[in-house]
Amino acid sequence: MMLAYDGRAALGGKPGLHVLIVGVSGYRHLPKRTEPPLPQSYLLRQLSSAATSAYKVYDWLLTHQQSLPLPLATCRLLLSPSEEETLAVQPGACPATRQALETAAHEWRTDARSHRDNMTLFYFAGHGVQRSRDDTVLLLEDFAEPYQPILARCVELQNLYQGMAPGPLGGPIASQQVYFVDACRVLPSAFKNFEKLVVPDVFDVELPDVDDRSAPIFHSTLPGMLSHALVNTESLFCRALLAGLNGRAAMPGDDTDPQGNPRWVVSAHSLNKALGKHFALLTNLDPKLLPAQSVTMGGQLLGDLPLHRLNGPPPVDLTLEVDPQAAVPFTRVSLVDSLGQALPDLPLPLAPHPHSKQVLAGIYTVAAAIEPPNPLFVNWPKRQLLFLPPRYSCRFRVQQ
Amino acid sequence: MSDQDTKPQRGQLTFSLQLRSGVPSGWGGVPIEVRKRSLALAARCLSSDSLELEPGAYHVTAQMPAGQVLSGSVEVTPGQQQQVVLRPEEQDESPYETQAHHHFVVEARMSRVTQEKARAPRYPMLESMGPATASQASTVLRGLILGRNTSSQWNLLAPEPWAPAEWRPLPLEPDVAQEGYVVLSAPAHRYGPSVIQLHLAGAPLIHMVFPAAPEPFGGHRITVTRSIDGALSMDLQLKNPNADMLLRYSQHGDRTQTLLSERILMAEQLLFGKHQDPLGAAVGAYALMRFSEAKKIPTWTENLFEGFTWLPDGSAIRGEHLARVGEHGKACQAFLTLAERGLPIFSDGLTFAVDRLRSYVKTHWTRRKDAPTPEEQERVAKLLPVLARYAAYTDFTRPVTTFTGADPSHPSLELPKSAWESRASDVDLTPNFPMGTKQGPELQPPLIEG
Repeated sequence: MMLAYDGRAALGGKPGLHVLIVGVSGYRHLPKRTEPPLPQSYLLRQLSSAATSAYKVYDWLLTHQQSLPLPLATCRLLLSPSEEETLAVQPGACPATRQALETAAHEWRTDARSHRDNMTLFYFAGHGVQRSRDDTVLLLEDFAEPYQPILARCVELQNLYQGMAPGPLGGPIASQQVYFVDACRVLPSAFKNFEKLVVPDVFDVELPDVDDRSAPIFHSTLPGMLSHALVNTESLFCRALLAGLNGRAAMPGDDTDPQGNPRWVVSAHSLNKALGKHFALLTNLDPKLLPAQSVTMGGQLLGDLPLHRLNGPPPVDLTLEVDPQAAVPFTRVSLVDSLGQALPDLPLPLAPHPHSKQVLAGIYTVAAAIEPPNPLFVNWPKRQLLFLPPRYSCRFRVQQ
Repeated sequence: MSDQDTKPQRGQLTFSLQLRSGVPSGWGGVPIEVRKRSLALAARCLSSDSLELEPGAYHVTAQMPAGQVLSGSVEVTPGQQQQVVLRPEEQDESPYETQAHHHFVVEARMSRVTQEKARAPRYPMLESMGPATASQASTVLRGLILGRNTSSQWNLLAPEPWAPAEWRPLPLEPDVAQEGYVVLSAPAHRYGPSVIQLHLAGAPLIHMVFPAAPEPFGGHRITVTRSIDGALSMDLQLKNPNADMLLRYSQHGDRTQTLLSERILMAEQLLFGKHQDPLGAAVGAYALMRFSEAKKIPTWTENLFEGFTWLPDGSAIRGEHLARVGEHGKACQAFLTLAERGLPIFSDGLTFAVDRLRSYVKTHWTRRKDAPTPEEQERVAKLLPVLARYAAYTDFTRPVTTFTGADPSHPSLELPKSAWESRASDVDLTPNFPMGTKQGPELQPPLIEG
């Protein structure tokens, strides 16, 4: 039973969001995470966060159904948790074997083909081997099964991606698709002649006439580097992704509400910007302790793809700093929002300094005045600044 | 009373960028967003445009490819022409005038003091394809061009890969040489597949494909920088600054800015026969591939393919364009010409080629009227593993094809088999990238798995 959520009856044939989520930690033919890696298992070990990460994405979708761009129609969930992952043991999930993924993918595609205005979401967490900007070989639970070709229990991301294109035989398909690949993009040096190894197809791919999907692919790490996770909780990418979806990657949309205010939205475009520039910040962990990790976006994005609609402006982490330090006791900082209301609770002097505060995103009139006047320092002229999530740093240079 | 009497007269707005380092020459225009005080979107345009807006208060921003935001605000008055000045935050200004383009377009450059503070220790357990840390003993750059004459081609299907000796020196000339920032040009007197090698002692060689060509098609430059985390980075700076800007917007997946920025390149008449900038045209085509519908990709991709046989990206772009509109047989034939032209300069082209050829190898062509010949299908089966091997060792976060290998014909993670032998044409960058401050004690990360 892999259909963890089914809302098709309520939709009555209208467009919806069809989801396929795969999380593999417990690779049954690989050594445990605490055991040494072995050459015969390609130096890979089991994971302890991938299944948890996948489950958290699933849980987020269920919790935020009302603010998704389309109603949640189906969610297929394949989870292979490790022994330590209790959260990811879910009755509605199937083990993420090759066979299970084949079945789930075909059913998912059938649902995606039910309406051209459908949207799909694919999320994979587990081991992966990179082959191009838009292609990774995704390793499933039964990878390295004895007496099988090396990649027999894997799936090619590009095969899934191309299989989800519109085709002359299959007909139209969901025109909006988003793919998240949260994989340790392991170098292929462990696999001899890797470029010649074959991954069995999940889909027979028709060559499409015209492919005008909006279908970005988010990859969670640099090629050849490892995707990192805190043990027994979600991966860093999953953490950043969910923080972004919750508003840390929001931007004012192009359309407005009846009052003329923009609708705040997290889109593929804004998510890509936030994950690319603020990955460490979105994980909410000490950046000094984080290894280097980046997110890249491939695929094609023919129009921006909304992912989550917010009810109002999201919070922004604001940092206020007076330069030089000696001017701090004399500097009064003021913030006035677009409605003309001054923000209270800004201490004089700013303490602690630099001063951190959370405000709602928007345009503010900002000023810094020297009080009482001091011959060494000058007022920082009033300016209008746009504070967007996740953070904004404002430095007031008041040196004469 | 007519509608015209009641409608407020619009004001006209122009834009001015104000950078302490000065606006780099050649910048045609930067993508702009104009929003009302409520943040409702009023308009998007280029900084070189002028806008008519209804009276009111507006906030204007320009997002640079490297991430800085230039901003300004204005109160538009009826019937008046006004200019809004856009400035970055003080801390976002470029530390040096000579680095302004790189700072705002490629990567934010920090002041030297901030760089010293910003370097973080590296975790020893991390496996990396990228450049090594400041602890390396020497840093050398070498330019290489293939073969001896103008007819040399990077034959990817040659029975034996090109021997290292066939890669001849391509002289490099430093244009800017500062600590942590070096810019070099590579004047070429003939066309030829070229790579730039970055040698860091104890690390695999890094190769960047380089478009060496005589003027007017040449003139592109190589930049070597040290990023905030201490790693060395090699990049290509296109001769056309607007093409360079478009490349970075596209690389960062910034659809809105990319499509706006692309207007400038088209306005500069990159169309074949009017103003020939094939590399700029290639950048424009790649951007359109990412963010535009197939029918909006211009038909001059065929001209780029036919007219510039020294440019491998013409093959990749034409192939992908044809594939997007369903002409897969012709697409396959276009991709096959990479066998003689060599690796695409831009990594998007390598991705297109590998992904499409992988599907064409598995296609049942007998069902299609546009099927390639059996000989062509056989060549696809031979070309794919060659390209796939390069792809396996390519850093796709970089817009220019950059891969590791013992030499340009053998992508891998192996260290060079023989000791590095200096050549007269080598550029020693060690003085520009000193060993740096002593690293602090290695931090123990939380229990992190990969």
